Amino acid sequence: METSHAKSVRNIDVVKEYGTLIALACLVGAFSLLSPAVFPTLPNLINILRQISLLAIIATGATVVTVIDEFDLSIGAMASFGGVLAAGLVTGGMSIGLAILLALLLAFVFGLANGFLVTYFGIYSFITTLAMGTILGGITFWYTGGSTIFGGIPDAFLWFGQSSLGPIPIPTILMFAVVIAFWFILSHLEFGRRLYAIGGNPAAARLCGINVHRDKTIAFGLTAVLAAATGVILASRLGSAHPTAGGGLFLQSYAAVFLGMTAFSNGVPNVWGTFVGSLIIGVLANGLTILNVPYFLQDIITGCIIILAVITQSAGARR
Amino acid sequence: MPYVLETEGIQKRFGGTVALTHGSIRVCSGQVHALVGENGAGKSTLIKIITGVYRSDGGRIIWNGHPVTVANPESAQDLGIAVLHQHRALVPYFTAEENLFVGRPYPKRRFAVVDWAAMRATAEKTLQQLGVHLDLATRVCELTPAQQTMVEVARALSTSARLVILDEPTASLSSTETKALFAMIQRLKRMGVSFVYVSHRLEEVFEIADTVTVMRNGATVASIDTSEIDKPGLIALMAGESAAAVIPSPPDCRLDDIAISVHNLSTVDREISDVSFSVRRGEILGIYGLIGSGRTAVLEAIYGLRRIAEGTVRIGGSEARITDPRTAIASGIALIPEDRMAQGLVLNMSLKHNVTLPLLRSVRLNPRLSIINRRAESEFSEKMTRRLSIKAGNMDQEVSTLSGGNQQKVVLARWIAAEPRVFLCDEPTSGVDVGARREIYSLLYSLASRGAGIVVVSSDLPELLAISHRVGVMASGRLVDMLDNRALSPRDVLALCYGEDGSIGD
Repeated sequence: METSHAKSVRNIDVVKEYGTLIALACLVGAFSLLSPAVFPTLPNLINILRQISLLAIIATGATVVTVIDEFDLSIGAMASFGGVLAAGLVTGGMSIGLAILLALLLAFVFGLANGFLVTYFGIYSFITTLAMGTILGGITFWYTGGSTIFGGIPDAFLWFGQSSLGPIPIPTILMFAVVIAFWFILSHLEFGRRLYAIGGNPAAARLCGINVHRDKTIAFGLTAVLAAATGVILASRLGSAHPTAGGGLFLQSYAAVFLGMTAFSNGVPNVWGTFVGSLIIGVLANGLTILNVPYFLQDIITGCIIILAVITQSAGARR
Repeated sequence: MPYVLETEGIQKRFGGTVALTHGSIRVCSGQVHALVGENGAGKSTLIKIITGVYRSDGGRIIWNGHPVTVANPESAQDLGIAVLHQHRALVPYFTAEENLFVGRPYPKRRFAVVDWAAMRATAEKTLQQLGVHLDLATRVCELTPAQQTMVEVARALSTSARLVILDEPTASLSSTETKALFAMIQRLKRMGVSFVYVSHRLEEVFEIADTVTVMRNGATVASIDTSEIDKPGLIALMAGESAAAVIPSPPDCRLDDIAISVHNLSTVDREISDVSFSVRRGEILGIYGLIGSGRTAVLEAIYGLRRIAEGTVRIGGSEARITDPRTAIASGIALIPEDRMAQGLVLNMSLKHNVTLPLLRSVRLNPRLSIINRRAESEFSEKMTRRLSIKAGNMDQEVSTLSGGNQQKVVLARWIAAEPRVFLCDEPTSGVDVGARREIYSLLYSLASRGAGIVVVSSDLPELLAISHRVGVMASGRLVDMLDNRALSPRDVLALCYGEDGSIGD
């Protein structure tokens, strides 16, 4: 009696602890059975890793602000802004490196502005970043005149969005670089630990001598840089930059973050969790497309899976 | 006298941990029944079972002579059981009267429009019955802690509760406010309401309770009239050992040089004005005052949490420019905050990460890079855990799962390692059991004997008098007196708090 009771408790813990990973394994298993010839192949795996690369990068950015218990609703607009600015500058004749640097730098400044408004004036990040997103949308439209930039982009600009290093697409390599870098920042640097402390209890963090305002502001800046970088890679991949190109990534990136919070540890946002969340969304999209499931159904299924993941986690947490 | 509530042999397990093996309590109607025991003795588990938060694994609950099952908090409320938690359950931005009606149907007029006039009238009547005077239109967050407690009691009673469970109700109350609360309890007792009173403050138990039930290690060990036992006897029952409560005297202060001196300190918000004092190295200065006297504000001002309008703080002889906690820490000051849940701990972080939070620099992989050396971090926190005998399963345990005493030791651990020159402790033993209290005192003593200057704010006056070399008394934001703690009695200190003319107080 005693041992079987303890065992069932442990089983619940396992589901709670690794629920999202189990869900991913189930999805991969199911698609492999339903489409054995196409889904479980190496080219398709590489395909999935290429498809999720942009999502995983922007979602890593969203993870950073989620760690400090804030929201950044401007990441979609920030991605569009970054892509349009970089593409616009290179078509205007600027060197590619400088154009990208400038786009990322400006995004960083806008991100810092988000953080400054949130910390210094104490405005809810929800409202601040909603407004900032609107402002950025306006600036992007102003810059492009509302049209897509596609003529005159030099071929070199398309390299990192469209080429591969051996069999691995460059965006996938960039994705792993970003994920590993931010995993290191959040889990191994004092800065990352401070962000988790701020997210957990800002008052206690302050009493421990942490400069809460400064660290939060930098966190918003980093989120913005990753969003803009996503926009730049997207522009390179498409060979064009549309003033609302990043909008679609916004909701999905938070879906990945929330899925990721249920993936490891105790409901805390973390980079590898977000990566797993992005993979789930990517595997779903890929598998359902292979199975010819209409696009609207994919959205419905993705939404249901997110809700399910959160339910299993909170059910496990309850006594 | 009939029992309003009886529990028999309640059991509860959480996974592999046994929280309760034999929880029994019998509460007579119209009586105050104290429930005491060290942290982790099973008091809160028993209360959570009585109030339907947890399901019991065994045993019976009998309500007015009939066995009942309390499936959830609503069914406890329907029976007439109300509970006031240590951490208040009020909606801070609602007015007092709205809070009285939270969770209950509002009085309504046609079309579901709230009848505010009727609500006001009912609320006023309730408060009148309780003999409480406060402005019902005030938002609860603007009321004093005592008034908030009154609102909670009033709410409990307006749901026609027959049994009110009070969990450490005086934790944030001054002694006048406690008196007012006790007066209210006495009045309600005469109206036939019963109380279960959970408290670490044994003086209060003897003052207010008719009967006391003692729990230890998840079981009820005794149930006895308070007239038939004294404090040492009660402590012996709680601790399972005798003479546990004697607080050792502080080590002799070696008349060393000054650790901290404060000159004419005033804050911008005028919570304190013109406060001056100094603490020698090795000295423990106790600060006593009623709620709102500025006792906490003094510590906060020194620690850079309140903006200073005038005055200076000198650490070890040189002036310290403190603008925020960071500069305070750099000057060698540590603060143990009043509310360890709200200000001390990051509850969802591990024990290990909480201990090292202000000390990450000392566990770097390379002194010049801000990369955390995880192994050094684990070893460091293990060392501190052993040194402070913190009871925990492992270093990765979430700090929220530790008992109150162990949580407080985690807060202490992080600063002890930093070897600060000045320790500011705000209510370091609140909600901490007798055993852990003694450990905390001896920690403070060893810090003092190694040369730190220590300032302790505590509303537990006997405790403060037992551990301090000198006692400063605060009232209305000023330091009204500084007393050498030689044969000082609580009465001497209280007399100063209330002023000669009794102008402060009720």
